Amino acid sequence: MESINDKSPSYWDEAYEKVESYLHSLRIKNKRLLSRLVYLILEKAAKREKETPGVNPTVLAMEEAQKITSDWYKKVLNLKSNESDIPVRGRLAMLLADVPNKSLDCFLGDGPWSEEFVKTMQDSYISAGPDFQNSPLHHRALKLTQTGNVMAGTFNLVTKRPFFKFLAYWVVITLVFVFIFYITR
Amino acid sequence: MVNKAQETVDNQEMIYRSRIESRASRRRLLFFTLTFIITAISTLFMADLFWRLGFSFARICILILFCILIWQISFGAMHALFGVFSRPKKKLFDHITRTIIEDSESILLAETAILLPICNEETKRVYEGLRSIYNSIEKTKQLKHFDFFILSDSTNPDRWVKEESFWLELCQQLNAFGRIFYRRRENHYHKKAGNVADFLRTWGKRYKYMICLDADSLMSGDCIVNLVKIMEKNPSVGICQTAPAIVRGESLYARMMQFASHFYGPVFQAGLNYWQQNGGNFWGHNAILRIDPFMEYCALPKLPGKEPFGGKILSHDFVEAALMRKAGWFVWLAYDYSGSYEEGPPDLIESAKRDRRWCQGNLQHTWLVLSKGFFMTNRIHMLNGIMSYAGSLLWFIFLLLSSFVVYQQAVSDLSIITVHSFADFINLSVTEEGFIVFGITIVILLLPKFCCLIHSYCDSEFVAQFGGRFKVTLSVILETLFSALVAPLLMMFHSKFVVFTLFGKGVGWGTQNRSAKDGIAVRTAIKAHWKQTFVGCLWAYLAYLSGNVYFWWISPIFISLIISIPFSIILSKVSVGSFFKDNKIFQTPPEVNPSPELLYLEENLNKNLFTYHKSEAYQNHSGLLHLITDPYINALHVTLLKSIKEEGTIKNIKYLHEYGEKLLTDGIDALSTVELNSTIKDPDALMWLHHEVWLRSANNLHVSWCNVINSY
Repeated sequence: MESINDKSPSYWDEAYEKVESYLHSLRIKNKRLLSRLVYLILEKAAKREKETPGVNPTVLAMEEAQKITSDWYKKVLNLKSNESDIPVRGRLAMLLADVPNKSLDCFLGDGPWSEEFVKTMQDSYISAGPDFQNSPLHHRALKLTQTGNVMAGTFNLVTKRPFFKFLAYWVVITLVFVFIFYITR
Repeated sequence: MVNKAQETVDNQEMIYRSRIESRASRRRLLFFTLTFIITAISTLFMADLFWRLGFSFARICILILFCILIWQISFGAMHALFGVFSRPKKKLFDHITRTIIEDSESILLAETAILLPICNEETKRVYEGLRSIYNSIEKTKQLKHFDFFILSDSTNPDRWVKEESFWLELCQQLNAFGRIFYRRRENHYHKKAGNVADFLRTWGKRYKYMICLDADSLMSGDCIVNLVKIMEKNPSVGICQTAPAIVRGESLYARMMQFASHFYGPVFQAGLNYWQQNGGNFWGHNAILRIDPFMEYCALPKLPGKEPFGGKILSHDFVEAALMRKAGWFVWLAYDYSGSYEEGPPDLIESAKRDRRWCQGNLQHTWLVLSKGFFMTNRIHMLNGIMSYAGSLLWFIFLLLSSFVVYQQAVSDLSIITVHSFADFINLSVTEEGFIVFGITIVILLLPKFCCLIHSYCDSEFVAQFGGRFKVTLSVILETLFSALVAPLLMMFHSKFVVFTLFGKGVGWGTQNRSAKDGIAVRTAIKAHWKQTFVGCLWAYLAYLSGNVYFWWISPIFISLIISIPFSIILSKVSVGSFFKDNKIFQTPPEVNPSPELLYLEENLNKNLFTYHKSEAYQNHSGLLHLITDPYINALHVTLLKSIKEEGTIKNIKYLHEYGEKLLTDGIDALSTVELNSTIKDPDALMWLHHEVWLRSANNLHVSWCNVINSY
């Protein structure tokens, strides 16, 4: 950790906090494991900082954190390195296997892991629904009565042609006036 | 041999069908003839009154309206009357639920899907309701026959993310992966009906039945299992609807509705079942449907013209029942099953909002009434639905015309010259005859309440659950008074809705607010009711000019309108509701003796069983913030997206990076809802955002991200 102490403390403090938050977000709450992992990640970041000076320690530390976790997912799940969604599959497997509560000791460890743990992780998958079985709904058109047909014709005319719509409004207004005229006689 | 056996079964089925049909015909004849007689007597007295006063154009209009409206209220009153007399005879075969009593244990269940269509609903309530139903079915040891589908149409990105993570947590907690499924639609075509249709197209053929729920539904395992048994036992039944009782009401308004649902509901439903028999209706939720005929015959047709009056059908349930019946399948009401619940709106304004949608949906049914091939019972259901709203407009016109006639008479200074009545032996003055018409109307209006009250007095166990005879009588009196004050307000709302719909002003299918909080704000009440207050004042003034007598006659209407703002606020208050609750007014059986599933729901709602979301800390956008920062929620969302991702739906990467950059540096509020939605629909964008939000230092991130990160 010498190299870490040499740098501006505020940068490394931020890096420390970010890595710790990231592990917290993975629900790693065991303090002993947490401090060990944070130390491990920051040490790796510090080594890289020597090779690439000028890069923000937070970025380096988080790159290391994501690399370490991805490598671990790859190993446990036995995935090929060119698969782009390794982190997603790994996190999901962790979640479904409930690693933070059931197998915390295995997390980011080098192995060997128990067969049961590996199987649980590898079997973890998610299915939002059963297999599709596409089948159509049979639509049937309405058969209107004669009155319905007249009404539908009028309605279509009124809704499609603006002129008839105006005319319909005027007819209604006229009828209202005629009605008022009649009842006031 | 097989043919002969099949023939015997067919013959038995025909005999069974004809028995039900002929019994239903007799009952309908009796029911509607009695309704007609009451309408005829009332109309005769009204016509005679006008005859004596002298007919005018206005009076003819009033008489026609009176005839229609008196039919409507008589129709309602007959339900209560027939309900009271048909309820005690519980051994009658006309209850569909009785068909499984003898061999209930031996009936095997079939594969059933329980559907929960949701759209931006309160996530916790929805999932706790589902947990309760799941738990209740598990207790029946029949869980293996049921799959649960959360069918989301949510457009709010926060809700969407919450729904996914809650689903995952629920599945983990109940060990229900492969039993509870979650699906969100990309497009929201045809709202709830489209949501269910989408399920049917995708998975429908895997199941024999489906039970449709609403976001606020709750059903007991026993009720659900029995519904499946009914369907298995009765192969001619296409839909079996339960009668959901309203529960969990807290405000005064909700508690009143709740009381009415529990106290009057069973009697009305018995009356409804008396005449509709196998020609029942579907209310959209808390019902079981046979999937094969539903897919074959119940796809919704398109109506002539455009929305709101034509186009896509908004209220699909009545239409689906009518289509099912048209295809020869029975639709029954299993009204005597307990264990079917729903929640009501907390206040008058929320209730009016819901009615706005229902009004449009029901008015669209005019096209179905004018279509060929439907059964008369279904046409009656649809006409009744139309009249529930159009009736309000007719009442309004009726009252306006009556007021006008009285006002005209008053300002004319002419004295009233009357002639003899239609029958000389009825030696009545005009005033006396007026009172008779008024009396008949009031009797018809209050008959249902009276019938229910008498019915409750005869059943000491039943009445005890409502707080005893004294409390129940007081509750009915108060409910009648409050309803009388609410009725003119609903009349005004509904009249407006009908006119708006007819003049082409449509409505969306928004999310219903089901929780009561601390009542509505004064500003909200003023905004909703100021026009009603104005109309009330004007009406009172004109009534005053028309003379003292009329002023007092019409006063219940204008007083309700004038006090609408404070009255609406009082109705929405939980504290007022609690006062009545403490005094055992509007008490309902589930409050005294709650069912296990209701208790379980309440218990879990008070706990915080869903832990992935720290929603207390981030009231706004909590779902979105966690979607991008939380490694698990992000992974879940991306996985679900990838499982439904179709070819050709890839978004413009350049724009997505622009949105992503904005999101990280300027926060969630920097993006519009459309931009947010397109971002969170893209799995690659989300993986990139998750990577970036953790990688960047605080200087390159908006403060909201730093706050969430620090909170882990």
